Amino acid sequence: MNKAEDRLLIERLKKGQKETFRELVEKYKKPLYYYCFRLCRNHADAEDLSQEVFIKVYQRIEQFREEAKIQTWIYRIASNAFIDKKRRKVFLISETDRFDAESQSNTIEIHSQQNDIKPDRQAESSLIQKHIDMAMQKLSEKEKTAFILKHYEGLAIKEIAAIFKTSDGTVKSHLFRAIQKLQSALSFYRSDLGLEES
Amino acid sequence: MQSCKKYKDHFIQALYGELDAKTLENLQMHLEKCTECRKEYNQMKNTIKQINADTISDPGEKFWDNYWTNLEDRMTEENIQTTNPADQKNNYSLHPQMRTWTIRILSAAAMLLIGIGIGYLYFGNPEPMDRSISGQTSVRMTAYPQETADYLERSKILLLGFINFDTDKIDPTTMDFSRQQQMANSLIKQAAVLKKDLKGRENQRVLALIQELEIILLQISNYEKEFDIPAIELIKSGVDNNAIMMKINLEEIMRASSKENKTQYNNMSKKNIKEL
Repeated sequence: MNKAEDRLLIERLKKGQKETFRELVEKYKKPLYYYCFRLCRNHADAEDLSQEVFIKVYQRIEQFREEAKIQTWIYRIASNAFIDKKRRKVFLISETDRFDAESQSNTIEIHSQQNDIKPDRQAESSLIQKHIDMAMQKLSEKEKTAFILKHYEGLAIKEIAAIFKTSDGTVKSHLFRAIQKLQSALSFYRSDLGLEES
Repeated sequence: MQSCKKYKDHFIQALYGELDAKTLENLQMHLEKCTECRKEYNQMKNTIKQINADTISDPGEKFWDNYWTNLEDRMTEENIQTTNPADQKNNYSLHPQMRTWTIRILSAAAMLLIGIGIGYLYFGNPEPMDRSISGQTSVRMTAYPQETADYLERSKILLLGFINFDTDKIDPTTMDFSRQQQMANSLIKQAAVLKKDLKGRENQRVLALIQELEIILLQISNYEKEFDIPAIELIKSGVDNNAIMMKINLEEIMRASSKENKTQYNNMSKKNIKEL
């Protein structure tokens, strides 16, 4: 994302130029939706959360300080909104109900940035997906958001610390714990994938 | 073992390519020598590989095409103007500088009210000294025994060590907290005894404080080195969120002022008796 471009976009939005908000939405709707999907693990809640985040961005644009990256700021709003919703238990679909509710039709699978494991069969892929979903449920909200921001969104530890307004050490601890929990939850089929540690 | 903890602290940065070359080299050298660390590091690496198999479903072109319209509909439903944020802003806002000052003034007023509230809560509305016959009014505020005061003092010393601990500057894995854990254990046992003696309305506040302290002391007692940084952060946030240090300080101030008032009152009573 181009920082100068973003700065201009924000300036225009602050000045109240028509259509600027739409431009911002068009630019960030996909990364934000995917981030929300990773957090909520279902389409309905991801859509709802991403819309809520855009509304908050729109309402709080005056509070945005330009030394920060707009994307980082959006992620901060999204992370806080997710944690808040989770605590208030206002998501439409509980994580345990998700497996039945998720629609499988007419979707294109997008592999993660660092994907180097490509299961041959769709069924196998779906099974792995299910296990990862269940493993993700073991993480606390902060561990989950920190892990997603690091692993899928590729943010630096410092950037995540800025999002949580905490120290690098705390973020590292969240990540360490997240990976350990995932490791323990996924250990049962590590040998099937030929990932037994030496 | 101590050095292993230090290296483990670098695992995350190494796994995600955020470690500088020199530290990475040191870590790799350590991993070559240390079987346990190598095993743990490889396990984490493999877990990350497993997670890479995580895929997400694209909701499809129709969804993206309608995204803006759906958002706009929701904003209309929630009565949020989408046409011109500046116009909307001008409807309710002052000049930015004036707004900043208004916020500052309102914040100051809010802080003042909170201060008054806390003061009222902790110092209450004591009756004047001369209304009491035996100086019980001031004593009522801190009627608990000296053991409780000592307990609070010891807890304060223990917690100070934790709240001043900077996990960014000092690696907690290199620290030995066994003495602090022993102290926390002894305080937990003492709390059980003290709580039995703290009956009545006048002791409710200090009883609540001891109960809050017990939770934090339990966290210290259960501290495990493997979860070093989060555990310390948890202890720190527990102290911070419950304003534990402020409450202990207030108890100390109140106890000190009670003692002073009691002495003054006793001196006055002796003088009055003499005059009579």
